Amino acid sequence: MNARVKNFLATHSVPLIFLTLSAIAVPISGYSAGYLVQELITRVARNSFLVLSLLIPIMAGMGLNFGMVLGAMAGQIGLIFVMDWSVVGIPGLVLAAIIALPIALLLGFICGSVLNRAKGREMVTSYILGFFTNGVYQFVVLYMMGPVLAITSPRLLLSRGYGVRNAVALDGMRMELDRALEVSFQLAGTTIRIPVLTLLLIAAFSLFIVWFRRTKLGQDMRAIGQDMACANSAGIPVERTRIVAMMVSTVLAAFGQIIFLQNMGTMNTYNSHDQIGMFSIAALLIGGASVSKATISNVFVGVMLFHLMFVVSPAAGKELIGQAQIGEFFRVFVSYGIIAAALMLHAWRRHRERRQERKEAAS
Amino acid sequence: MRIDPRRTAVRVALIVILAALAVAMYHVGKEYSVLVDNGAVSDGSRELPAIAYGRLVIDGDEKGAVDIWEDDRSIMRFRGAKHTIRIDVLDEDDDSVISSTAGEIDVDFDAQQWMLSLPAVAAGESDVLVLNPMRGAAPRQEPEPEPSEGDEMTPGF
Repeated sequence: MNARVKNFLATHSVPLIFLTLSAIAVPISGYSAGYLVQELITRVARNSFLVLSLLIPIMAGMGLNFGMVLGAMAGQIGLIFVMDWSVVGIPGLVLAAIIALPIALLLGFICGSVLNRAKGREMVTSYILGFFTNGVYQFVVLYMMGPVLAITSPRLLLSRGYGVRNAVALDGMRMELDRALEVSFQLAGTTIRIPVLTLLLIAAFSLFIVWFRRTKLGQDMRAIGQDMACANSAGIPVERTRIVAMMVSTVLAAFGQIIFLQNMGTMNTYNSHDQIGMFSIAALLIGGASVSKATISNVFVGVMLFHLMFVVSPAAGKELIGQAQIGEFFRVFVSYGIIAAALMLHAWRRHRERRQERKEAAS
Repeated sequence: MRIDPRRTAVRVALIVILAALAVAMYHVGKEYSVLVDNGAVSDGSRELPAIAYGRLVIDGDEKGAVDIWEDDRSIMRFRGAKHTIRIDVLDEDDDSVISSTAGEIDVDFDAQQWMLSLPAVAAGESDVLVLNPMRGAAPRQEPEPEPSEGDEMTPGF
């Protein structure tokens, strides 16, 4: 086999596997093209912002930011306050983002500072930090909201007088951003609705990342991502830059979670942020990204392939085995499995590179 | 530590802009629940009769216009405090407009205590609030089971 083809297959093996699986599952599921297109557009608009927020820490050599759940929590706290004050629509979403901003900056700073003390083990550290912060979040939302942090709306507050309800309907927020500027047309008998404003926001964020890479700070992050010791020798403030990367990512994750929840229309107070990190990272890896390299195209390819599997796998499972639950198991298996595979591939590549370096040094 | 005054000024300006934006968003997006009443009202010296049949147009939104009948009372949601309101008094037989009154209202009042009187708005009165007969009643709360320490509350491994 041609070396270039081999290299292409090795580099793009994960998206190719998912493309093949999708090609098999789509006809089995029996869904119409129009339905699938609409689902993909909705899910790209809903999730892309969150997945894009992962790019900057990868650029700074900090790997996959499992700590993005911290940003998601900040976004949710912003939404809780805004719902309590009955501020709705796009002004409500903007206000939630403004409230989330300082919380996300603080959490990002803490996360970046902790990760600076755990260089080389950023992913596992941020993963566990996510669990720790989840505990703090639950303490704040379950016990402090009401008596300490003024939450008064009976729609939010548990009947005991403190703590926020498990499920909060985002009345007056649901799809406000998506429907603010919507274009619809017919495709194969299905009305396709395109949330133009949300997609414009995602496009603006993508352009921001392209621009950011060319800035001094972006160049510093890339240098740190390639070789931390060399970057340090070159006078780049490594630790400060890594903290900035984490803060930017956490803030963007907070905004992403607000966009995600306005599309869903319901906030699961204690769970919504939990799976966000896992699913966003899985989507990015399925798009062909690795622990050390990710591009904007990886984000969109990944979100589309991952969510195509999300949509079709329950129906395909039901058609094949007679149980839709098998599709649910499959997508959870895929999410965790793909992350494990990506981490193994990364370790294997590093091991191979080091062996090669040792060989070269010996000769 | 050296402090760069220009950088500090920029940071302070950014914080001020964000705070101003937050306040503006609060005022623009704040939703008010308003009890609207179409019952006859009296201030002691004169009585304003209820509108027999009419149409309520808020902020010029003709599509979202609401038909009102005598003694109607309902809860309406207003986004933002200041609104233009138009009341068309209609003929019951052919829906033709008999008279039309437009005015501005500020709905930033406690709906637990006050109701917006449509006859007062239609008469062009400056005081358009009447006492809510349900004032003082505690808001109804649906009981909700408290979150348990079950699987919903713990991170899913």
